[in-house]
Amino acid sequence: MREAQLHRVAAAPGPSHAGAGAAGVQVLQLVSVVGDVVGPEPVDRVAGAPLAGGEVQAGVADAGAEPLVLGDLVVDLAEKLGREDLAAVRPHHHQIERVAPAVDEHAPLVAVQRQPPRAVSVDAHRGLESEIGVSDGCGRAGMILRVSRPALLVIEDGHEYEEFAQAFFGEHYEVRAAHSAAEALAELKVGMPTALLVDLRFERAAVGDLIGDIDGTARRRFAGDTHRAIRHLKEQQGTLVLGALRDAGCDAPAVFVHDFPPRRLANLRRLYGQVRAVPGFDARAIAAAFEEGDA
Amino acid sequence: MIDRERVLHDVGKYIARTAMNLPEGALVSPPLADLMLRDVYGRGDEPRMSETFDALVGETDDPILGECRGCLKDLDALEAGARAGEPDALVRVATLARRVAARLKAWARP
Repeated sequence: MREAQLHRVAAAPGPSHAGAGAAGVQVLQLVSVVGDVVGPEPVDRVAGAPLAGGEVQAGVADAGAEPLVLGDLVVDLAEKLGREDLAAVRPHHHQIERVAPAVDEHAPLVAVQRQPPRAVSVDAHRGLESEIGVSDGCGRAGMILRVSRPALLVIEDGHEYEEFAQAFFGEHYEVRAAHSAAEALAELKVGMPTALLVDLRFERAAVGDLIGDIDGTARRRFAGDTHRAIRHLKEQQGTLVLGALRDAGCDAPAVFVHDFPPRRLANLRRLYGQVRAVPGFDARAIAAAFEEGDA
Repeated sequence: MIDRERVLHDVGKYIARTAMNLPEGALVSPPLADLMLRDVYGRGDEPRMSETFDALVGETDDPILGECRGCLKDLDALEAGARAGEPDALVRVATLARRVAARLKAWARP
């Protein structure tokens, strides 16, 4: 099972990026121990961009920024990652701290902490992620780091899959849910999921929430019978939503809880890449399917 | 004409959503018990599995479906005890839910 990930989500609003440099250094120190470094990105380049699960990014301050020492923040992060062995990175609270190595050679190496950093943890997103914001105590914000688990996006017309995922995978994954193609595409803007758990049949979905060409399907496959076309689209809606996600650039492995005939599964893989199927709600088998390599 | 795929999906797939992840005979923890009771007895205005089964199957002399109907009746009889958190009742509910799922799978995909 994947470990929790660090995502840099946005620079906090404020007149400067004070603190981002030190945060970047210390996050890099942290993730170098975690062993999952992607590397720093300039703030402007990552702000607002959806980050795929597994990425770790840290902001870098401009050369004139006055960094904060964010040791407590890093300790908070380590605790949220369940990595007690990272406690060694804790600097003394309220101390002037030298931060090295520099991420940017032009950034100041000496971090002067005038005020204790205020690390606040809030349930910012459905109670499953924590955002830690840090301020220098003078109203200038540093940066916000979001600590999150790899994201599992559940796509279904009801709530059964989501309940199941929360019960059996909630410890390891941030479980998000979408009940239509529109909702699923909106979830991509929150962040790229690590895996998809997809219901095939959307029997309870409203017709207006379905994707697929009802009239065209009726004409091509059902001699103009719209009712049969709608039923067909409901019965296949999970694959159509998956297609929409693939078109939008989401290549996360998709797991269906369905007993597909081998030929049908092969066809889905040809169309949609990493597609796996588990015949029942077997949590171990589904977890293994999330982790499988490319089919 | 019984829609086998529908019976397999609406009853066989969901009745054991939780139960199939519980070891045989093991005590059922409260959070999973809640989830399992929803699987079997529905929630709020949803039909219980025995009602869904009856609506989809109707009258039948199929022996497997008859066996499933018997299990579903036993499950209904266990509801009060299971909702009260009686460990034996919960273990029995899990066992019967798994049995219905397995029998319906054998019936739908002989």
